[in-house]
Amino acid sequence: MYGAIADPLKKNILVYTGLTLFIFHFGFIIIFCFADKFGDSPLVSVAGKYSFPLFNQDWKMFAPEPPMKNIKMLYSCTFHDSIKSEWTDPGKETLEKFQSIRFWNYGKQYNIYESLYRNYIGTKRGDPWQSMTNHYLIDMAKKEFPNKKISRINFSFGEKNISGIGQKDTSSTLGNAPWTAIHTIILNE
Amino acid sequence: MSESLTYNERLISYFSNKVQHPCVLTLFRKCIYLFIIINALILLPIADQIWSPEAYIVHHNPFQPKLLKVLNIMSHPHMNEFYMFFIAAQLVFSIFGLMGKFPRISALIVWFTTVNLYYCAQPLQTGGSNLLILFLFYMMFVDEKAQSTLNITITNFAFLACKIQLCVLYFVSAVYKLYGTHWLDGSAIYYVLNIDTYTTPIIKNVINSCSWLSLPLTWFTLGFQLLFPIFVWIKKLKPLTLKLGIILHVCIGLIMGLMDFSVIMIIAYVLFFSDERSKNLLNNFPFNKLRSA
Repeated sequence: MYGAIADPLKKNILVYTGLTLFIFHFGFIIIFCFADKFGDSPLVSVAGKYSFPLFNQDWKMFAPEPPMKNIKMLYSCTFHDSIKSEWTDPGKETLEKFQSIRFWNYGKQYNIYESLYRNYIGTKRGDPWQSMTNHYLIDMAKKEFPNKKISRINFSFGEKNISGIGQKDTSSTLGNAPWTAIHTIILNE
Repeated sequence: MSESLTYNERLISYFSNKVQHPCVLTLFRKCIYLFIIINALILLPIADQIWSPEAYIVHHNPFQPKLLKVLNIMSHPHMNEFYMFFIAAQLVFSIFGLMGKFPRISALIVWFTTVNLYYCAQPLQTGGSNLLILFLFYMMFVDEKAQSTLNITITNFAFLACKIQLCVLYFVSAVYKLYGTHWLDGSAIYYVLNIDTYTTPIIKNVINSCSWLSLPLTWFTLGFQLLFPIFVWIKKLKPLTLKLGIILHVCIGLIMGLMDFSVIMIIAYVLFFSDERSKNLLNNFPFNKLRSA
């Protein structure tokens, strides 16, 4: 008798508690997703504390404005005998493999190249990303020239905007020369 | 009998009487774990470039929130030396999860290891991995064999949370696309397919010679994302919505190369399958004979 009365009550409490938590959970997630549209409201601050980082659904990952430029990183080695190598794009081969085989890890390898590029450009001198790019280029150069002593690596970055619809020159060819500042890594070998 | 029930009674009964769509939940769980296993094996040859102390990714983020400092133990000094341990644990417990062993413990450990691996390689992540982590979190509360009222209710809410999460994703991304310019003027797909990372030489030639294609493709994508959260709940429109979604995500995977994102999105559609269809699929699922059958 008591069980029969208690059971519906227990179910009611459970379901309505669940529904309340559910509404708060998704309410906060949606408010945090639109945080920049709500301004500096205290609600956004509470929603942020609740949602970030566990329930964060970064809209930039799902709704990006399309990128408008292609990027390229080139390096050239100077060997101990002062001979210089051609400018080489360390991501070229990976990109070609990625474009022909989608079911392997070439995409992630190319993402590494891109993130090094973006973070090198986007950070200040001394940032760990800058030394990470150096580390990557040294490894790439040693892989490319395993039997040569490298004394210096010069590298440079290039970007090319994509032409609008109907405009000419939509190819992504960035050329092979360095475009902007040339950075240098000196190897003490 | 059911007609005489009030709205409140139907609501209470829906959430607390029995686990809704247990076969859907089992199929969804197995697909998620199978994806994690395959993805981990694909990334294994380059794991040192991503997670090891010699990786090309900066693991430590000084601005990470307090909760992440506790959860993301791989970002602590020297912890990335044990990256293989995290991958191995993720693999082993995903296999347990796939086999239906220790469902909640497996879900907890897979979620924990995935969070660690995710945040240590954040610059490489896509929206798919972001969604995967959220699904794994909800899966910790799912027990499709639940018997007690408490467990049944928690499982039903977790199942609904996974579905709502997918709808929130589409809704938020569609609304943000409306704020941009290139999605509304129909040029977004043209620009995306001209970016080396998201194209192939053939696709680039096609979109440049038939640039008019960009407008219908862009608007289709935008319209689909806006309408999915509504149409998927309407019985008559659900099959078409899911079919169009699968086509869209297969194209995103093959053309743009975002395979992990596309596979997770397609797996998420399992949540909207009927229990009968899921049962049939489960019977043909690799490594599986449906135990409850």
